[in-house]
Amino acid sequence: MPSTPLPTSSLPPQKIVLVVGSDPELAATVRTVLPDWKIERAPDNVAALALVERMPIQMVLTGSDTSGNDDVELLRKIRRVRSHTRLIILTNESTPASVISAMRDRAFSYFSKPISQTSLSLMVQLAAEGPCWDDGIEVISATPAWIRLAVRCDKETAERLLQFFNEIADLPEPEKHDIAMAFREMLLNAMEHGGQFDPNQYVEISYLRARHMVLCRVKDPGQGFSLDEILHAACANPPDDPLRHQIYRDAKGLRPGGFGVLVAKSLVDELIYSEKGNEVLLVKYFGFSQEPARGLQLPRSRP
Amino acid sequence: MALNLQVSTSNNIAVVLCRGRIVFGEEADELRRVILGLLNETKNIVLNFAWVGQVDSSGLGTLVASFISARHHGAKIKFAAPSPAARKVLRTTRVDGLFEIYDSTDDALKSFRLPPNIAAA
Repeated sequence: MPSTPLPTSSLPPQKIVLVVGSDPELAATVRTVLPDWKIERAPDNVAALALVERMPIQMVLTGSDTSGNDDVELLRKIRRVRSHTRLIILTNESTPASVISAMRDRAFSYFSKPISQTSLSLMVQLAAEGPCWDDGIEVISATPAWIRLAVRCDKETAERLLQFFNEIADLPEPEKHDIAMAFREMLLNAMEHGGQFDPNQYVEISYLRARHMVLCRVKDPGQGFSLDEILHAACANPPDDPLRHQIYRDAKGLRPGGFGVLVAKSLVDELIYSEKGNEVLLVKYFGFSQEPARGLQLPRSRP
Repeated sequence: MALNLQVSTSNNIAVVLCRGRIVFGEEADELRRVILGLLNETKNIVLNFAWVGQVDSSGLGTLVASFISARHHGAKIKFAAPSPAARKVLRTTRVDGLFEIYDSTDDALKSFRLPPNIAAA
């Protein structure tokens, strides 16, 4: 028996993603990740804003041939008419300052060239699926050298923050990769063990970029712990028993893992816990050359 | 999901070609699910990590948990061609001591046909 089609009015409206610029590869990526979404195209940011003003667009991907500043400007204009549209900035010219501006104006994510298609696809998927994202990353204060954030305890927000971190951290390789990996481990530990991945809880993040050092501080809302007591962590294993923590985790019904502290320790120069154990500092030193000092950086205005 | 797993079987040895990252969430869960499924079918598994760009704490935990599961099944998991990033994290966490690691899938496959004392040398 043929099925009766549903009345058109009962169907949810098709979601719309706006792809700015003429990059055919970008449009193809979006089509693959979001097969059920309608794709609108705009040749430039002016045309994009006109479209956003005219129709309810859920997601915007900017063109990768514009600068980060131009795209942040577009983001601000879009925010005046669509406060919840998810905007992913793709750019060929970026600075830490423009990434911070993007975070302040609640960009969903930010990618500068060269752009990993895998990472971008993942972010587009997150933007499409995440139920609530606007208040996930709050900029408490920020200059390119010193950033303080409050970050919601959920994995999607962690992925967004890590992409922003990747864009902000103007560090040499391999130090950038190492500190990013260590930060990821500590961030997820804080969200999972300190915040129980409760989206009502927030972790505090500080990022400090000095001339020869980068420091990340992660503070979680939990009760803390002692490194000597955590049988579920590989760092507490005796040298001759590398399986002990996993056997303990299996017995307690915990997911496989427990290598976060061990991995982070191997990637940074110092890993320091507070007495309570709910705050951790990651320190990485680099580039002790004879380059001149950058000078004292003062805030533009004082309260 | 940022992990693609392709499973092939040759002479009762399962080869899992992993592409992407093995990290907390769907990726680590999927690898665990695939390995547990294979352990019901074979006692010999090769994980080709040539295209694995990142392994995090959860990914390492998945490998260790899989090692324990394999031991319970009387099975063996071996690594083939780990990428530099994968090799580095396996080494720094000493997880590499649990597994035999070979430069290629062919070498790993051959090792299953050799007596254990020669294969592990």
